[in-house]
Amino acid sequence: MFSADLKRGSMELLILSSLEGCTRHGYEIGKLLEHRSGGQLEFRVSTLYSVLYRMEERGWIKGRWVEKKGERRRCYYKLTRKGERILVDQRKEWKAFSTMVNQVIGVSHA
Amino acid sequence: MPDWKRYLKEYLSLPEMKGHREQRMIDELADHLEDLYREAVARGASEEEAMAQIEEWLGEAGFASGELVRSEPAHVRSRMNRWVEGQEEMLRSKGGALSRVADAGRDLRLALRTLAKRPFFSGVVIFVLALGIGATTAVFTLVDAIILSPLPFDDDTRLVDIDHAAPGLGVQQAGQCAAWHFTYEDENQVFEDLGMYGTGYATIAGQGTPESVPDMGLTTGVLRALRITPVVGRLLMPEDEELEAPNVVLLGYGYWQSRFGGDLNVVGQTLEADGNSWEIVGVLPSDIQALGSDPAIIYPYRFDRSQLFVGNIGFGGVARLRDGVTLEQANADVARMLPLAFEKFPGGPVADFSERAQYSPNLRPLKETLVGSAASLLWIILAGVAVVLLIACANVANLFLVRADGKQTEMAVRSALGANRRRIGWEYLKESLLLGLLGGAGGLALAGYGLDALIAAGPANLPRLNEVSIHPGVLMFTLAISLGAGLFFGVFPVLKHSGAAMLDSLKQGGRGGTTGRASYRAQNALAVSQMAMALVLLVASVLAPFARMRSAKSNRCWTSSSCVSTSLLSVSS
Repeated sequence: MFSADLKRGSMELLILSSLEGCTRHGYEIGKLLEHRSGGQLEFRVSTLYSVLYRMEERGWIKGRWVEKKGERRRCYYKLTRKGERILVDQRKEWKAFSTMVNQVIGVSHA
Repeated sequence: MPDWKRYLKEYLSLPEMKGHREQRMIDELADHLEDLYREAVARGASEEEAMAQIEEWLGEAGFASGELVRSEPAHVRSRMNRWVEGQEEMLRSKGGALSRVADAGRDLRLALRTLAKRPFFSGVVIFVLALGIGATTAVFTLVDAIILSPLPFDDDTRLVDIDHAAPGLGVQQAGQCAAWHFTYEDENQVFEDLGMYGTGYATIAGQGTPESVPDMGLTTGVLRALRITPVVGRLLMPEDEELEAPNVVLLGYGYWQSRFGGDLNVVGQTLEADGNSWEIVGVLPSDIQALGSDPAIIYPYRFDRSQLFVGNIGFGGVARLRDGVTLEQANADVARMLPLAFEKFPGGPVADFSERAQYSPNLRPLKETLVGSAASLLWIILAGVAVVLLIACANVANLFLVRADGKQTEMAVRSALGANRRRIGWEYLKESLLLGLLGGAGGLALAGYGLDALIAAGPANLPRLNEVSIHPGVLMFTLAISLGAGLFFGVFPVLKHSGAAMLDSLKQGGRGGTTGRASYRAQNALAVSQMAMALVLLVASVLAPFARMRSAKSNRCWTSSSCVSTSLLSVSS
């Protein structure tokens, strides 16, 4: 549906937004993005986790292994303070960028 | 259900990552695949269909592995490695010597990675080497500055110490006196310039609390013979030696800095010393310290020649030989002039005593006089730290031999696959050379810190300490001993695991995984040599104080306390 480059370019923002206000494990994040996009956003496992690890390395998210009752041990991710600031900034940037692109290519809002 | 962790380990080719991150990746991805698999089966897919979907989700193995590796924190390092590899490829494509440089660079890079995987072993080796190389470098820096480097005077090989022996009294280094000095000045055929000097203390008053500072009196020929040029102002001139000349004085560089803050307008100011006013006419460079003293003020001697006689011996004398004149010719000329001094300056309260002394010339190269006694002490200390370095190398060699035992099967397999002896030897040597270089870098840092401590702990009368510094020559020395040390402890495993010995080790290693008795010979030899070197060091450390005492006995004058002390007032009278 969408090109891989386009998806990869927006993936960090998508993951940050999926973690806003809650903690989720990798599979849950992937499913949430697929669900919210109506099945149009599907990522390869290696792509999803490589982006998660890179974001963790930058200090935007933090993964922690948790063993919940009745479930197996999983790594749950949550936003750090830095990640929250990045999410706000990237949202603004994306909005401005998409508005600008729409203006340039002549698509008007409905 | 498949074992997802095992499946992923086989499917992906993840390298070892920092902090075992690859294990965390496998664990997380295995969880994810299990969820995907359950979901697919729950939707009604068969096991085969579910597995096909999993492979689709995973993507091509090489691509997936690459994506995950790039998320590793060391991605910056990987980028740098790629750049280095690119440069190596470029060199290799040019062929010849550049290709070998590229190969050596690659080998050292791999060796660095191997050493980084054993931080404790590498750390211990580097620490031990840094201690040995650091101590050797620090002492060599002293030896180089004090003994090996030329004196800080132009054409210093022509400079001689004018000294006399008094065999009738059993004195080898009696010194110089004013009567002899003026006789030589008038009659010599061998000196371009000559002078006489002595050290003492003067009391400076006038500004703040009076202070006692080291001073130096001299005839102006000293400055001409040494070819010293002033930092500020002028030198002392022959007319300053006239009895009725105004009082003028030069400042030593250190005193100019500490007392006057390096003020360039210091010339013309007046100094109150020993109750008289002295006009400052210039500042001498710190080179004058090479004469064994760091005077705060330097003043001209003024002698009434009509009052002189052969006596009051004990001044220092320095001269510059005329071009082409040998030391033997100079001694012969002084021997010719000695009787003339008694004729030119007769009398004196000790005339009979002078005849009994049977004075004879004892001219020596100035450098020999200035550093002679310190030289023997420094050579002994350098030999001592060299033995310490050898012991450190022997210790490291033992560590290497033990470690090499663990690698011998690998090397034997390499050999069996066609690697020649040179290649196998290089496999051992590249790590030892790299460790030697790292130890050398650590040693250099230690030497930098340790040099000040060494100077502080050493004898206070060591000459030329103001010239001590770690310069490019010392860096080359450190590089040489670092590579030498690396070669020394790296060569034992090469000798031990070469040729037939390697095939034996393959058999022994394959059969029992233990090392044969023969392979312990090298360790035993090293242990014995360490004991022998420790014994040499022990004996040397016991003998060193005796050598020091002996050299101190033969030393005529290093400190002002053992020199003839002259004051401004007494000499200028």
